[in-house]
Amino acid sequence: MELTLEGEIITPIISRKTVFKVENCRAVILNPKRRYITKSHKERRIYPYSFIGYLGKIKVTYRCQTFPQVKNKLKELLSIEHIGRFWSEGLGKISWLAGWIGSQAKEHKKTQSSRVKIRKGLPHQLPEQIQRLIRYALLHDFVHTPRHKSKIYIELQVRDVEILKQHHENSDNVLIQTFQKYDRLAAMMTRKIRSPRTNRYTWESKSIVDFELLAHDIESLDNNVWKLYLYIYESKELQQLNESLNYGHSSLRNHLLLIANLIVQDFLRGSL
Amino acid sequence: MKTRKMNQHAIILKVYCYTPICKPLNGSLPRSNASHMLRLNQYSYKYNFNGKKEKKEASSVLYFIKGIKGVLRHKIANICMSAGLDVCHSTDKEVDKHGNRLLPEGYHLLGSCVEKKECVLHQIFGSKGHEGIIVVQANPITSIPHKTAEISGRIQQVHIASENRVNLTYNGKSVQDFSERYFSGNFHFEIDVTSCTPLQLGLIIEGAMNFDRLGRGYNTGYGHVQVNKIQLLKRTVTRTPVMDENGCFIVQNQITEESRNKHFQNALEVWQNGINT
Repeated sequence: MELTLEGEIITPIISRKTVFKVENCRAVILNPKRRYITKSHKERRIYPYSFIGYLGKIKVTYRCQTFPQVKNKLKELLSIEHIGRFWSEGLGKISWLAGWIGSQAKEHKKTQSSRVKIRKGLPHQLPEQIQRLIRYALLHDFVHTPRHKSKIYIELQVRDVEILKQHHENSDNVLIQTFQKYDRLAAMMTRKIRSPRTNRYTWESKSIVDFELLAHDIESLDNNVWKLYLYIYESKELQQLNESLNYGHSSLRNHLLLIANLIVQDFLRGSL
Repeated sequence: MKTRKMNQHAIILKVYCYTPICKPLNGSLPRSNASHMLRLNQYSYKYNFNGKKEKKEASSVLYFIKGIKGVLRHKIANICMSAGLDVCHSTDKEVDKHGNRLLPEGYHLLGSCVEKKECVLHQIFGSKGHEGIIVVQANPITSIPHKTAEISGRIQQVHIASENRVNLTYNGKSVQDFSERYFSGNFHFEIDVTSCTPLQLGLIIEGAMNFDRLGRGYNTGYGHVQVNKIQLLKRTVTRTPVMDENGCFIVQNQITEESRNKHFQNALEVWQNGINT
């Protein structure tokens, strides 16, 4: 059986996380709003301490097998008035609103998340359109565009360079439109922490990259998508370069591989 | 996570106060020069518009009154000192890192009296690792401008506004200007004294009677508080789940209050006799 209770938080509950345990039950703060509570000290000259508190709605769930257990737990939970620290000053006050009792406890299974797995290699059989799209994705950052220069400072001399240069522009080309969708999705996934840089090396890079050799190697693999993907997968040089100057921790290798894997994932699912 | 369970039959000391202007501030918000009180949820209500039957919705911000327990503690400590009792100071260090003495004469370090003979102040308010026996809390405050507002729930209506102040001027222009939020009007707070002895209750009542300040800027004229009325109540709270057919239930709260005037007078007498003996 499953018991759930919902309540309203009147004054902020002081806790570092929004998920915690209350009387051996799982408690979650829904729609949390963070508040900083300061506490000054009169006895000596120090800065006021600050604590993190949360407002919102609280939801408590309890799983058991018999009805008397639920009844006892409900009595115990309904008597709670304050949760967390500084209850003597009126913080952490709650009021219960409603709840429900489920007849059968749901099996606690881990839901399969739609995480992207970076493949070691591309699938053996790929149609030509997908091959073109993956090639476009893997080479799009190595050409000069009106918005930015080549991310390895040297422009590649490969076929269809003019189409590659248009990857930031609005165009009617279906190839560019589908690529832009995956490019933006991958950028959104990798760009988390803002850390500006003045050059293309990431914060973690230690050695110097030979850009001419790197450009020459990529140019030689232009005709084969599988080899190009494998080269980028094993490349330690591209790992040291950043994808964006504003995000100095996100590497170019991960960005390129992520776009290719998103395309492959959608192709295998049949949604592309 | 620690929890506090409610007493079904609680004894509560209600203190009714008035303040012309008070600033129990929490701190400044990021990227602003305004100091705010601790901001809580938004309170939504309905009101009659232009005397017609139609109703409009509006909302106001709830704020939390900070620092009541701290003031009460200082007041009680002063009363104990004037009565010749040795009580805990709020510090647990004798000297700071610069060598300045922190502990005034007549006090002992916080929590040092637990093993020998626990002082009254420590019994009531506790210290780190020792929980106190009282709960001091006030209902959230708001300012609702509509007179026909339908209000339900435990809130207090006061006037809330912000005061702009200029700290430094140069050639007639303000260089450092800042604002502070304040409230004014009648308000009340509650002290849960269920597990107090009559002697402790008498001391708390005496401390509440001398409650004269709250918040910042006492020396510049802010934060003066005037106590109008003190009431001792017995409050019984029952929470019952009203079940539905589908297994859902709504929690209903029933609150009844009775006055305890005899206990109030008895506690004051016990405290005054305790001082004399």
